[in-house]
Amino acid sequence: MTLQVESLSVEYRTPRGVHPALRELSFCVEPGQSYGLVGESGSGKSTAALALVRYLARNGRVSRGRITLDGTDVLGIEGEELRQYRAKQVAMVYQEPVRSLNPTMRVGAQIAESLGSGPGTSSEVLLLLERVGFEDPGQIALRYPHQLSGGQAQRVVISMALASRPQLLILDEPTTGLDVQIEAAVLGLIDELRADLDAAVVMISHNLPLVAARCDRVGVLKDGILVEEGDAQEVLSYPQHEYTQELIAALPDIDVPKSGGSFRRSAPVVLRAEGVRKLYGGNPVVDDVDLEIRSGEVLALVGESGSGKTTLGRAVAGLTRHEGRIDINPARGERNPVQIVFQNPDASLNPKRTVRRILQGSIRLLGGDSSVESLMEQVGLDPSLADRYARELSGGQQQRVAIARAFAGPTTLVVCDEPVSSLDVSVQAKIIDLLRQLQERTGVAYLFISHDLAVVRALADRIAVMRHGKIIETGPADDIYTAPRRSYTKALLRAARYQPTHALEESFSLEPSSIEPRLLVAAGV
Amino acid sequence: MSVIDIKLAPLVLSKASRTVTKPQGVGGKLLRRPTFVLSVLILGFWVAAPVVLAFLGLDGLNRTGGVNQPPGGGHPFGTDNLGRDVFIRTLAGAGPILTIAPAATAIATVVGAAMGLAAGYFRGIVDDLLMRSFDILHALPGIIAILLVTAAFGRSPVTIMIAIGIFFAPIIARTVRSAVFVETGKQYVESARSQGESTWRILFVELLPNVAPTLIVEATIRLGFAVFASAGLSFLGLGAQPPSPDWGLVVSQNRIFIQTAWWSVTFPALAIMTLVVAVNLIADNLREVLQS
Amino acid sequence: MATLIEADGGVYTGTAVSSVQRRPIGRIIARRLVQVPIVLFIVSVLVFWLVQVVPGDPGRSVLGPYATDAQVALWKEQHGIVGASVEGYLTWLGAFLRGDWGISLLYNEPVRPLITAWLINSMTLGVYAFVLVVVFGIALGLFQAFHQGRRSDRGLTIGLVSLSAIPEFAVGTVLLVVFSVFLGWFPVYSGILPDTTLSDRLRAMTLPAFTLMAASVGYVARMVRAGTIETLESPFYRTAVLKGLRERQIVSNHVIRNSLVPSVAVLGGQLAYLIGGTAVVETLFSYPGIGLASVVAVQRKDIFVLEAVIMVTALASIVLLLVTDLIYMALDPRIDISSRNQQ
Repeated sequence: MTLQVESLSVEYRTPRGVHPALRELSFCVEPGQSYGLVGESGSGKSTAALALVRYLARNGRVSRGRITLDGTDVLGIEGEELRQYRAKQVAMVYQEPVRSLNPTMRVGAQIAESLGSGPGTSSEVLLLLERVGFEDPGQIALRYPHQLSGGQAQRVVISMALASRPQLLILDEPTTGLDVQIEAAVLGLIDELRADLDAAVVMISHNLPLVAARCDRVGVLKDGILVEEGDAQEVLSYPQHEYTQELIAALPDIDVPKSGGSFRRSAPVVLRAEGVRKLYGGNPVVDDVDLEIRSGEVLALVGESGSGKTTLGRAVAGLTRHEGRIDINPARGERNPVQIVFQNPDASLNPKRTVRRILQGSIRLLGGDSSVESLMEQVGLDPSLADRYARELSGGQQQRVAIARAFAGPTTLVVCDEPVSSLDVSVQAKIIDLLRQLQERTGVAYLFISHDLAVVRALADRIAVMRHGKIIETGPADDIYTAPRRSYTKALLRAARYQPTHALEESFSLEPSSIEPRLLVAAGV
Repeated sequence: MSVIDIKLAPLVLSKASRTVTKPQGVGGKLLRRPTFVLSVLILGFWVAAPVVLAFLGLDGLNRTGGVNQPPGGGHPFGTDNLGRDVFIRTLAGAGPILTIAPAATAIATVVGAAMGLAAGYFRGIVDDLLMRSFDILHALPGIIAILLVTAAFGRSPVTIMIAIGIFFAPIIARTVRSAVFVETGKQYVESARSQGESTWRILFVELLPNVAPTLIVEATIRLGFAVFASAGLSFLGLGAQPPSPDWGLVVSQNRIFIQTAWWSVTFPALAIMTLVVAVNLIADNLREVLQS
Repeated sequence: MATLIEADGGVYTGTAVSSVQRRPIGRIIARRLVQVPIVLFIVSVLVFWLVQVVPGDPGRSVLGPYATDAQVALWKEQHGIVGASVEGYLTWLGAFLRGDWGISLLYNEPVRPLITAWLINSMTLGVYAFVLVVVFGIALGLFQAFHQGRRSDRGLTIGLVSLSAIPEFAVGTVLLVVFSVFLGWFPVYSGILPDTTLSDRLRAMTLPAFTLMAASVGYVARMVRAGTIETLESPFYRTAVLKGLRERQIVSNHVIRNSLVPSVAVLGGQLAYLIGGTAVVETLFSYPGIGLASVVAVQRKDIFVLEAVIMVTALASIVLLLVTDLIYMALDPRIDISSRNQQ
């Protein structure tokens, strides 16, 4: 029942010629084993997954190689044989669970399809739903996909994958976009099932430590080439290939605190928020929050999606209406004391303007005195890029332009809203470093919003943990990382360290039944 | 062959194969498209024909041959019931439509773009007002409403232009509004706002260039429908008046001779088809080039 | 189904459950029903005002130049013609709502039965054309989607868009010349009398219906094409294929419904258009429907007919759009009509 991939090469025909996506990929997974394929965007890892299930895009072609699963020549079968292979031997769990389910069909019926028709299907559906941890399978089966949270939908997809008791289970970024505890629960569930099914598991991910913690072996892909392969822990601890070493070096280290920094506890307060509230559809997204930031201080606001941290950041930047007070005291009487850097640099730059015009506009508005070129140099951008349009730059370069815009003139506080989470790991570290340097040089304060405690370790003077619209714990960074008081903060730290969490840990039961619905909604469960 | 071929996976380019293209001149891209060039030539022909005819002193208003002569001889398209040359009249008939339709489209585009920008950016009451006015126009039977307006305010070309323009404006506004919604969802607008950019500059310097491709394409499509509407009006007797060679008017006037002189209605009908198809092909090519 | 959704709505009235917020269906319908009279009210004001502004005195034009002013005034009073004042509007609206739609100045008959007869004729033609639009629109749209990007797809796209922008009288004229004048398959005029047989009615309606179809089919085909392509590229379609389902199951359970739902909205709009706004086609073919009647009413200033025609067509199209939205909502569990316009 072994999966064997030998010298697999895949190429795409594009208007600009043939683009090789995978070159001579070989690996092998034994039943009951799990294999992690790791790479950044464009490395060919998704192409590999699609080749395994024979779902390459129409312009994609396997130019070389063999895939065999339990004696089946996967690349050689067609028609009914291929259908049987997909129905019985292989199953896949996808990155976007909600979108992977038919929106106009109840989930029970969709699971039943995977079982094939036959007597007793509906009771089997309920058993499967129970198996993936639903306490009320009957109710879940009647729902439509849009009535499920991301975590619930992913468990439905997993139950469909289970239905055929496959020999090969492919997980394509199965937890990307899910919150940390739900991620832990989903991964725990997959672990249990792997043992149960004795299936070979291939896990595709951009997250090396996550994969290393979950898989027996890992392969590192770069530009379609497998640059390194080996035992998961060994690769993580003793990377051999230069690229793997770079990847690991770029990972934020949660155990190395901020060094240096000019912040004094007695500095004047530049932001004081009192009783900030924001309602969406009658539900508080930000619920009675008090916040203080002093001049030159970096406050990391940490929480999961739906915790209200982005809304709070937008309120501070004056981009959304809210209840309560937010007072800004410009440190040196700046005209424009609050700036914001957004998560998605692609959308935050006007595609119809060049870098030069974007920065000129900001220098004018913020009353800055530097030239476009010197501003670009300050953020590590080659001034020769000044006449490019934003869409012609890479994600990292775009984010540097967005940061330059915030520093185009004197300012007091910069709200950084997940500024690195849409970037590749190797770029993330450089942007974080840039933000740290700029902060030290200019002495502005940061409200740094992130879902990842590891990312903010090197920057933060103080941490505020946000959940369900409230700040539940706040304190100096060292205290939070070494002695967190709230169990929620502890769970976030565990997740950031990739320590396995049990699937259904007591305080984070995934079932809606026992908890107040409003809170679940806010948590995105 | 089965129409439905399930085994083929749909064409999805992986992110890996998406590379940044160097922008080429829009004009150059357009000129390399044969359908675009052909359509521009057709449109140019219809614009030039009435002008050239006027220059030659041919207005198609006078009797030049026998009554209801079939095509052939000195009259390639035959003659109508008053002995006028159908070929000359068909060529001259582009004039009225090509004055009214572009003017109406211009009015609709300017008014619609302003409404759409305002509604999309300010939302709230401004947006509600736009959407309700759209609902009302949607509820009115289109051509009858324009008919009524032209009947009420006189049949001058200016009235017709304004009536069609006002009627189309909310449609353009709605398209612009959706485009603005998409754009304001991107943070470059918020970024400009948070840096204290003036509303005027955000609307016209930041947003408008990004909405412009949508607006240009929509305006070209509307031009096609302005031809549709103004031709329909003259067909119903509310546009050009006899003896104008306007296509819609000619078709309605000669409708009763369809069995004895089919050529007198067929050629103007075919002429308007070529014009509309040309305008639509231009719109389609613009959409392909500007919005891809 | 309603109870299930209500039950869910109760639990998940929040923001983060999904990108689409849900509201109780009853409230959505109520909101829309409240809008109907408001829109109708504004339409009625517009219509009343415009009709009054149309130049020419209907009394004078009926009685001729030799009648005295007093006679004209008396005639107008007898026929309930009032000036463009608020009182005039209220009098007219009150009578209209009571079912007294006045007397046609042109036919000297009560307006209501006239309109009913025209409306039935127009609706018959509209439904005929609508059936053609649905059949051809879905077939062409599906064909294009499965041939996406090929020459046949692009050619059809351009052809259909052009067809929808060609004035109906041009298409109709060409059809008339080919099929009536040269081939003689259909009558040159489509007049219908009470004693016209069914097969003659169908023959009379065929060319007008195809002319109407030509203008409408493009919109429907475009929506069907877009909906189908979106489905074929969706992750859930991939899921269905990778489940190893049979073709028939994939198409019936996963493709058809998701592909056609977006087209429903367009279909409703087209039906409203087909039964209400066919003035040009009815005029070209001399088909005795409400469109032809309204053209004549404008030309002859038959004010009561005009007012009633516009009110009735406006009401019909509003109701149709509402019904479409409800069908739409029933087909797609995610749709929330109240937010569709806003997003």
